[in-house]
Amino acid sequence: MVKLDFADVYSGTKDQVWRLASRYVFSREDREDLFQEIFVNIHRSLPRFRGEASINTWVYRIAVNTSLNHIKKQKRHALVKKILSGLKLIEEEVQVVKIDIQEFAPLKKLNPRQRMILLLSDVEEKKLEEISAIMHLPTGTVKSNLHRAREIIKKEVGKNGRA
Amino acid sequence: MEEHKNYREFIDRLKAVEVPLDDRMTYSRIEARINRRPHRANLVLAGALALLFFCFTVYYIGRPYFNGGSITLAEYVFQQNDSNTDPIMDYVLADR
Repeated sequence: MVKLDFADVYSGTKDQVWRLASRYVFSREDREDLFQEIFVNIHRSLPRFRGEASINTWVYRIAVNTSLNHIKKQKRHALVKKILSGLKLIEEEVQVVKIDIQEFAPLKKLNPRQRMILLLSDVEEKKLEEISAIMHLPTGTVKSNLHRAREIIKKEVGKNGRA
Repeated sequence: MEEHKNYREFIDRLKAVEVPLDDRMTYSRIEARINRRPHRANLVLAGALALLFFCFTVYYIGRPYFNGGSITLAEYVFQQNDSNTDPIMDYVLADR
């Protein structure tokens, strides 16, 4: 077991986690909520860190899993809200779509895993092997998901007519 | 070719997303969330208490039906402890 101080891990990795969170979800509340959730999970998992992978890979792994779960949780909440508003138990929320969210709307066409693989590969510029280690997926799966994600984005960007 | 160019521009815009992090406030919020999270031991204790409460409720509701409905478990235990029906005590008293 490797003893690590949470404050040190936070200060050493906060920028990379924040960058990932701010490119994965776009509303301010979601971004901050996801960022905090990632570090709460890191704090909880810290006693189990064995030092087999580098601290950055380990942090990325937690960040990726938390982000994927965050999207699932959001979908569940949206479904519950829809049901409750259908039953007139709560008022329907007014959707405020900001310009920056619209700009990256094509990302919404990807499933959470594809979105994460695309971010790690093309934005964070990580190698396929690294992504495979972070996401616990075979390299072939990463490759095929990345290819599919790129195709979807190309199609969507072309449709929106952004040059 | 055009498709690829559009894609690259989209990725460049995504890379350019720079949101400042309010470091100090965020760290204190994370600390607050960590402290708010219930400890595993507390969850186990809460679970044990809930189980105990459940068992007691089942016992309390089912009490009249124990022992074929003729006698409750509490009454049975009371009777067993009662010196008047205690076979040893009866023996001692009879001997006297």
